Amino acid sequence: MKRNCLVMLTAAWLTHVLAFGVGEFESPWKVQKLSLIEVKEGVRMLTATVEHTPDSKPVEFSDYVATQEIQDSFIWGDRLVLLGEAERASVVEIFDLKAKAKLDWFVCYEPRRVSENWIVYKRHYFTEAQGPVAPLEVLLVYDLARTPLENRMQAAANQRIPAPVPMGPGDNVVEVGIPVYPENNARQRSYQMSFESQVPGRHISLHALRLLPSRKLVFVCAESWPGRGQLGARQYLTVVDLSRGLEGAPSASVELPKLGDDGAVIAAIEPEQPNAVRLAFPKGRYSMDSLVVGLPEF
Amino acid sequence: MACTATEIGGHVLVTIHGSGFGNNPVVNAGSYAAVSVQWANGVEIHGTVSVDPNAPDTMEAVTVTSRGWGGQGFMPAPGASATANATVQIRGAGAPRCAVAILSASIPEDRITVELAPQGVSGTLTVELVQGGTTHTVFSDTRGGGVHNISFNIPNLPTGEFSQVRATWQAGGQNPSAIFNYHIKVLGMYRHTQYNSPHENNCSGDPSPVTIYAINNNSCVQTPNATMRGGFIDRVLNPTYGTGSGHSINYGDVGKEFFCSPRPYPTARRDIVISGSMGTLSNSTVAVHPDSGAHEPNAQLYIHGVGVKSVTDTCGVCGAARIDHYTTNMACIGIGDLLPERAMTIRIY
Repeated sequence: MKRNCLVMLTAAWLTHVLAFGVGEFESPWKVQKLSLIEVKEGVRMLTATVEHTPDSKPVEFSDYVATQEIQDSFIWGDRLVLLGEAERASVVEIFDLKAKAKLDWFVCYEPRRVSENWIVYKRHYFTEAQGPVAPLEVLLVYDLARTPLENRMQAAANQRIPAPVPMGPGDNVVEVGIPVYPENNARQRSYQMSFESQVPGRHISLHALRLLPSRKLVFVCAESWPGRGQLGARQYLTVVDLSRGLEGAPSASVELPKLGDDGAVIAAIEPEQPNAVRLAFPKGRYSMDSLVVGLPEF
Repeated sequence: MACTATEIGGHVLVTIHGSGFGNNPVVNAGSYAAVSVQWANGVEIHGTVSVDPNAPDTMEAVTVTSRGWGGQGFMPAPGASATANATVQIRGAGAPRCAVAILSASIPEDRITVELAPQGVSGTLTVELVQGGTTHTVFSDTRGGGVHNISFNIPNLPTGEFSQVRATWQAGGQNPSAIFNYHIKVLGMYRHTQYNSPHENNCSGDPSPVTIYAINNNSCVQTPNATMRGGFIDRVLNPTYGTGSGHSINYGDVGKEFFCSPRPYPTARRDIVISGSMGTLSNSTVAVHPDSGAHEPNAQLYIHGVGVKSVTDTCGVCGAARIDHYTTNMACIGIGDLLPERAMTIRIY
């Protein structure tokens, strides 16, 4: 009887998880074709063909984009979203399908869709040839349900949104989105990054990032000492509580055990219980295949 | 084919102690051993014994027959006999051991050197990469005794970490193997791009205003009315394709300003020392992503078709399957990928 109860609870939990996952919800639009043609170094011409499904009417439009390679695309409402790579940064470009025009675009690192309308990414900064400094990276969320202006904490009065491609002086395609981590940035609605030269910086690792049904964003962070990279880095699991919205989100961290010189490789973060996650490791890499970590309370 | 003995069948000195041997006795040691008498003095017989290489494990009788002193015939004492017997044990040598040794392993040379012995024997040689219970076979084919150079078959290596090379030779009914410690991490098929620090002289465009700071006693000092060529500003500071560093005509080496001004573009710092996050930059260095498993000072990466390079810098956009190679080429545009296709990339320790 006890066992049956447990199975039922687990099933209910899983249903909750699945219902929350990213999926294609009903949209009147369907992507038929996306193509990129090089115009000049750093600039491509996107041609998108989409179908308006209620009347089976194909719609085609073209625009200059910074994206050199499309890595993911999806439609949310009347918006087409491209996640891709420019030459030296990741790019997110958002198009209004009704208007057949670009709505917004920005550069960042490692963007990923975590819910129907949220895209999570790291703030862009120049990473190469910057000398022995360790950045304290900033995590942001772009909310497709908001307007481009609502996705900016501050924007100059004459700022062009979207910026043209190629961008010009005064255009700002970096400071976009709602800062959610670290907590200081979230509270102060600030995009400001620091670069440490004497004490450790912080690297945010997004490949296993997970938004839980409780709207807690869970990901791994690691110290990075100036000049030392990730060698022997201390790792911790970070939780950002977005259950009360994107603004001023509180966050907390749990230190992870040291599993290897290069730091533990975490293949996935899976919901385990409402207040715990399972960290899955690559099979056979460590003495254990997974580790359950309790999440801090807020 | 059975392994063949090469070091057995030689002669061994032997001494037989007793009495009444005379000085010219005859020694018989059975079917598999032959004793050649060199001299005898009545109480000792000195000679050599040779054993048939194919002798089995056996007990054999050794018989000494005295021919008397001076060969004049045995003159028996009462109750004595001209012959005496003893028993010796012969241990068959059997087939000699087949042996395998790994002399060296090198990913940059794409070579695992294996020695098989003895010569003249042939069997299946299998060479594997090993990590815990995981193995990957890089070679399995018939090879005879001798020294062999085996390829890692680099383009077909699976991603993963390996700490040893194991060679096993199935020959002569035996299965000898050898282990060689060699630590590698196969990262996989990576895209290999390039980055540089362009020189303003190589860039086009009219002089354009740019905000330039110098750091003086931890203070930000702005250079008034600073200008640089438009193409240079764009190539260095544009966040979508900017290199983040360059050699300016008037302000020394410049980089993206990240301390003095919140203004994202275009702001620069002058008179900087261009270097990577973990060391100097050269044609032999690369930038990798912090999650790459190789983000450590001077980690060695082998790129198939290129060679070995050192990690000294951080690449934010590289993600899981891209490595950015620094080039001292100071061109403003046209710095394309290093390789036209993705290439196998391996961390070597």
